[in-house]
Amino acid sequence: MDWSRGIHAPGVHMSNRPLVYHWIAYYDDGIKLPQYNEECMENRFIDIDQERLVKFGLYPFSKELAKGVRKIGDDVVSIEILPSYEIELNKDKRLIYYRDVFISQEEFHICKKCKKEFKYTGIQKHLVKKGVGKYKDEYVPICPHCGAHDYYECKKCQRRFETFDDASQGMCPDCGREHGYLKRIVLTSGSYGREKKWIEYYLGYQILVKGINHKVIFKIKENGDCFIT
Amino acid sequence: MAATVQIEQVTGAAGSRTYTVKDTGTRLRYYTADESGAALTTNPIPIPTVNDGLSGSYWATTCVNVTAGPTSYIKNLRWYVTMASANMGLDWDLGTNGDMVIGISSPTVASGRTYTQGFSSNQYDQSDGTVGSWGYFISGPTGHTFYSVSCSNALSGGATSTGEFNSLANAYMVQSGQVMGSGATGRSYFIVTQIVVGSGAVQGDKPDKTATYVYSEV
Repeated sequence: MDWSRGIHAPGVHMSNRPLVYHWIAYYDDGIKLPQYNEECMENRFIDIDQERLVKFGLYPFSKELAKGVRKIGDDVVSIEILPSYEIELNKDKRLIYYRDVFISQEEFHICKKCKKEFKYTGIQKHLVKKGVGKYKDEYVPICPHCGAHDYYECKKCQRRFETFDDASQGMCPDCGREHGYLKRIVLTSGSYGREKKWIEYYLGYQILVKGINHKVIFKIKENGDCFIT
Repeated sequence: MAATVQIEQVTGAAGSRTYTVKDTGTRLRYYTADESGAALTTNPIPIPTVNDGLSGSYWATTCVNVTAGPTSYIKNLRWYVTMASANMGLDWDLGTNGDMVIGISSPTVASGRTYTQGFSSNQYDQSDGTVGSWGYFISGPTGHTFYSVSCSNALSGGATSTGEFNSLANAYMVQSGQVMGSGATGRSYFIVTQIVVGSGAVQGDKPDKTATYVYSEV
């Protein structure tokens, strides 16, 4: 896999993906255990007493909480318009909560004509050079935004050739053998790469019904969208 | 606090390894050399001229490094790569029997999605072959010691198509169960991947792909 041409300087590492949700555990005696206490110090999820839980919720950070948590070095961000999620629990329902953290290395193309980024799927492609002998046909991506693609141009008169083979033996027919060499105008070929990080929050419970363990889990994305898994 | 995690490539002899961070600035690239450089044009993978011949890249060893530990734990480290076709060989026109493969220790693909398939640091095996020409196949007689020798029941001799692990739902299980406990730092189990090029492969610009490590954390 070739992620050879980055758009950022080498050695620049992404920081952690910031949390957009924090949790609060509610006990049957009215006591709450928040992920971050009043001093913005973090409580551990594994320290929650599951036997006493009656409710568990995920909430967006308030600006004040986010500011305090960032001061102790945690990466969080306040997006107060995000919806909150709560589940009611009892002794039969056991809490499920975790975050899936994704670190991906992603390839993409950039069209040098319209300056827009696109994903090359291998379907929208242009034959830029026909194969000869052991060499196969060469295809380049077509920009899905503006339709641009690599082409050839006469170095002297700038006449455009959609494929190398449109000009006999790679020479511009107007400018002849001495001056009519073609050059490749690169607009869409060549991929770039970058690291991406994102988080999905999973909240739910498991319950034993007639000896069979059932799970109900909601996947909550960073934008607040929620899906039943 | 949330763990800080980075992807690393491992190269060099077992006793003098180099760990190279793989991110936006220094991405993974396959060579016919034990090389972690991001943008080198030396030692590409040649297209075999013999019918039914295969050329392998040197296998690439990667892992994740937890540099700041999780509040509670990190569990179930997985890996997958996106593709449009059944395998990378079709997506990238890698020729007859060309593909992107990954070391597997289990006898079935299904168990490869459930049980640990990576290997611990002390089972690291430096990639080898003939520089500039071909790398040893993971599953071959001179292949990766862990997959081709230690795992006697491994599927296809220890390597299978990454096409089997092309989404989160059917991701490859690098390390199941707890990877790091509360506050713990260090490296996960390692995985090896390799590009195999067959005769009839096509050179040129290839469709974009995304390879992803994912782990569960609280």
